[in-house]
Amino acid sequence: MSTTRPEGYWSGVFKRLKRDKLTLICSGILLLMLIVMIAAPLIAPHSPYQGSMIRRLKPIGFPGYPLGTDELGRDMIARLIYGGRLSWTLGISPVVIAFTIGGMLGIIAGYAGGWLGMLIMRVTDIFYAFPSVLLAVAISGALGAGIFNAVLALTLVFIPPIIRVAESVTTSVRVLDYVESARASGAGAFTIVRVHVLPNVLGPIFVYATNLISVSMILASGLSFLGLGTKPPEPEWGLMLNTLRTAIYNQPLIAMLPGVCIFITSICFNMVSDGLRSAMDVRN
Amino acid sequence: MTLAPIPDRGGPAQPLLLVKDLSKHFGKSGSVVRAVDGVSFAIRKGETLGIVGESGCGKSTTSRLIMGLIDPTAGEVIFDGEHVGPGGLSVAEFRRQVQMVFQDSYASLNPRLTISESIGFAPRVHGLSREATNARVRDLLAAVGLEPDQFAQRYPHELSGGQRQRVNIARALALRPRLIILDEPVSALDKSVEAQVLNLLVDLKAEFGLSYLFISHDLNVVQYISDRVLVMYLGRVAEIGPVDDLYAHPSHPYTRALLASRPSMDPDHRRTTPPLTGDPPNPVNVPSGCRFHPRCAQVMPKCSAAEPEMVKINADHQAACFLAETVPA
Repeated sequence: MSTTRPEGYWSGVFKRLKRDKLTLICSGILLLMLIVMIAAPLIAPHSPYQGSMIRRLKPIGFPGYPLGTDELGRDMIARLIYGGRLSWTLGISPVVIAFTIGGMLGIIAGYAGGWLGMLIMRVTDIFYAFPSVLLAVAISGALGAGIFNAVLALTLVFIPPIIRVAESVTTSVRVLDYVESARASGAGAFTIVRVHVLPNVLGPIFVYATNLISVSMILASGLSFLGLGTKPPEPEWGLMLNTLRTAIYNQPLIAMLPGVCIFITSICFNMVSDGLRSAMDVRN
Repeated sequence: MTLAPIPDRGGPAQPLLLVKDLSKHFGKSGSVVRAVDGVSFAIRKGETLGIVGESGCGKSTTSRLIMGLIDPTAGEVIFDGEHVGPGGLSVAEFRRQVQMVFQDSYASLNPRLTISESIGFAPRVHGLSREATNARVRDLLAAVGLEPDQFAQRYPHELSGGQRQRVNIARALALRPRLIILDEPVSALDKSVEAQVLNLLVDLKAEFGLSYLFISHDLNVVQYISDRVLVMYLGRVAEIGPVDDLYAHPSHPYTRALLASRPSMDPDHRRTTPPLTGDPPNPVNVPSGCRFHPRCAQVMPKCSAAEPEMVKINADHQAACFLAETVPA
């Protein structure tokens, strides 16, 4: 139809991302971690469950165990790789579910306004009254330990803040002239939300949700640390941190390793989220 | 479905749009903002009615009320002899015939849609096929002076303010409306572009057989484009009349003050009287009697006691002032 095709929105975003070295490095690290975790059975030198009483708490660099062994003599490399699988699942899946549900509710609240918006936002406020850590602990404590319950608890913790962000972004877009003009053209609410509201609000909500991944990972580790998330002998970074804390005087470096993994992952997710935020800003 | 222009019904003598006692009060009892308070006027077929007034006098609220973007507190809109609303012309049908161009050319275009998608949105919503919509978009782009090949696939941020406003005009034309409400369409443009867009509007009016409701605070622009002018003050009609008559013989002190506030280009006709001072009163606490009396240069005791009725100055010219007198024809 046309002879000139100037760049679209997403190609512009990618172009700006390519210039952002820090974001690129961080996404590279995350991608590498993902590949290693997916290929865990091929990469891990030992089983993450098979321990040995004579090889307990060997230091970093011990022959055959480059990152040493834990308090039950299990290979730390294998534990960290398999633990990442669980930690990432616990970090990402609540955010994905909360993004879907919270985003939807927030957009409805923001676009519809009135009593429906009021109802959604006031219920959100009730959840806001509790500190997020306390809420997660309370919900998962009430439901009992287990991965599914931990994901459920974290999802419930993340829905309110996502609703709030989605609602405020939608409210600011709803009053813009192009939405008014779409209403004046006789389009229905569903069409307007799909064509005019969604593309303009999903970006900010998505960036905010990316930010929550690191929080979710830390909270999930916290739940496991308290014995509310995963149960031993499952490897999970938070749980490993908990069980290794008894060895902190003998092998402080090994006791730190799961924490280092959590730290690197959350820093990387935060950096990528920041990079996305600035790359998605059209005004740059 | 072809989305052809809707034919005229009532004949040339019937007003295209009749607004009767339109009111919009915001807020709850106690602190009610009377943004628009009993406004009545008519737009004739083929004419441009200009609305002028200070910021906050209810110009934009009036346009949004007519479009049905906000619900009126009271009043009625009649389009080509038919009441708009339940029992009459449906809002959907009405919106096909009345479209709007906003002041902020950037905010009125979705940043994620190409120009062609923005213009084609309304025809697609009304069921026009993809091919027919594309053809119409290209025709409209050409009609507003933008080369279709060059602009159809661009995004709003790649265009200048004037180009964006042309796109907005094309979008307003996409449903083949009969009336276009222009809410400060050139206020955000620089002077040379403003003139181009005004000329474009004049050309399009003839080409598509349109009527305009042109809202502006710029008296020169209104004088240039309008056939008749309506002066609003604090949610009320102060004066309405043919543009030449009203500019030459303003009957309401507020109209006189507005016209006097224009900078004169002629050094021999420097302004001698001080311009209108102060802000319009808070529309929550509307002054008693005539709303303009606290700022009026010719205020009389009865002005604060009673609200003046519209006085017919001549067949077409009316003003809401006790001093306005009927001029014998």
